[in-house]
Amino acid sequence: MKIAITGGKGGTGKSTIATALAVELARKYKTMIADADVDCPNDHLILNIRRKKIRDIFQPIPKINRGKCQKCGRCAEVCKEHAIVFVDDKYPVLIPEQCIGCSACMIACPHNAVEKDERKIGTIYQGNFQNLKFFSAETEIGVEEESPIVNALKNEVEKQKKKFDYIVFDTSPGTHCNVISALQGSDLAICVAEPTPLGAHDLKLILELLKILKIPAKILLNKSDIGNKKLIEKITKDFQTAIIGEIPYSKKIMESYSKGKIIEDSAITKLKEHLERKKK
Amino acid sequence: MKIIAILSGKGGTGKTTLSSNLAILLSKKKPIVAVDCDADAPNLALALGLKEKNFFNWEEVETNEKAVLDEKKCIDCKKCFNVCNFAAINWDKRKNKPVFNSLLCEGCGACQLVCPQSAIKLVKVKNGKIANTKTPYGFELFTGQLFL
Repeated sequence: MKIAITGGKGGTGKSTIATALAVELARKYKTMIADADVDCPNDHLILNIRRKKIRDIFQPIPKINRGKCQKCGRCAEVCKEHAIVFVDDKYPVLIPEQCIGCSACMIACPHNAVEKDERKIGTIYQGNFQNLKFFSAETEIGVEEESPIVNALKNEVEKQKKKFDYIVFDTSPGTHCNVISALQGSDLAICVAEPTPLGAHDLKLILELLKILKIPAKILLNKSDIGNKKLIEKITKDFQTAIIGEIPYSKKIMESYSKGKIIEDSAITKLKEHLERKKK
Repeated sequence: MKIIAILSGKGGTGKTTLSSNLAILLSKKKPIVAVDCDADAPNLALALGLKEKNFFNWEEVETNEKAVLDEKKCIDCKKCFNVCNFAAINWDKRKNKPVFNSLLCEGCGACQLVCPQSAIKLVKVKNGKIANTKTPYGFELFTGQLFL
């Protein structure tokens, strides 16, 4: 069973909940946690795992062979990312930071002058916390397009899938490309939300996305006793979902969090029991 | 004019809270404009006491294209499936046809270029909207929202 921990807004407690849930599940089941927040992965810090690099992730990048190039400008013309600049009678110039590795220029060049090169865009790591298996991927600074990094992580997870009862996917905040890639294929999404106007706004966005992706969604309300819970309850009705757990704002949890430790709360146990029922 | 960017790697650290307060303070001394660049999950308007209905000039923008297949022309050569680097094309084994996932499509056009049948078209999509309005504090706020 693949469970995604997501939420729309940043800093609601996705990584905190994902790690606590994975540790709880691992007591009884074969469990893996995959940190798909490739922008800023943090789960290894909470789990105090020294990550071991498995491999680098590469993307194709064009290399213009000046011996073959006829300066026709076709490569720049097809590049939707404006990563190739062409001026008449000059060789085209590549701006690597803009390139997303789509290969359109290589296909379009009528003289086979655009050759395939590679650049490193990320790294895949693994590790263990007791009997919990850990995977994560991290983007190289300056890389714009992150979906290929999430997809590379998913391929790695896919290879191991059969060995596990539960796979917990921790996603980035937001609702776009790399979050969509991380969410796809999930059996259930747990949206970690906080009862604030900003929290409610972003929760609506992620629930809207999950509806489009046809992934069942439940809400876990964090810092549930500060702010206004009614804001979230209204959304729950609108989207026909439910709050399956609440974690009150507590000094004990904040202290664990501030030390980068795994939190303990009855809501996590309840969440685990909910997943057990779903699996049956 | 000075441009100040408020950013951080981590989520929920207080970017919007700082931005809104800083904007209000600065606006008391100098003419300013505030811009919410978090088009994914924009909140600066909310923090400044504005809702979506307080913006009157929403303008939809087309900044992207998506690949669309004409199944009648398709000869099942799988070239599009093999060229896509974004996992946006799946292969339907039963129908033996590609299936395009518009959510994952980057609109790069690689599949269109590689298709020997010209069966793939790129169509423009409206993928977001932008607007501006005056905040209760007197300065202008520009904001945007990506479509899902």
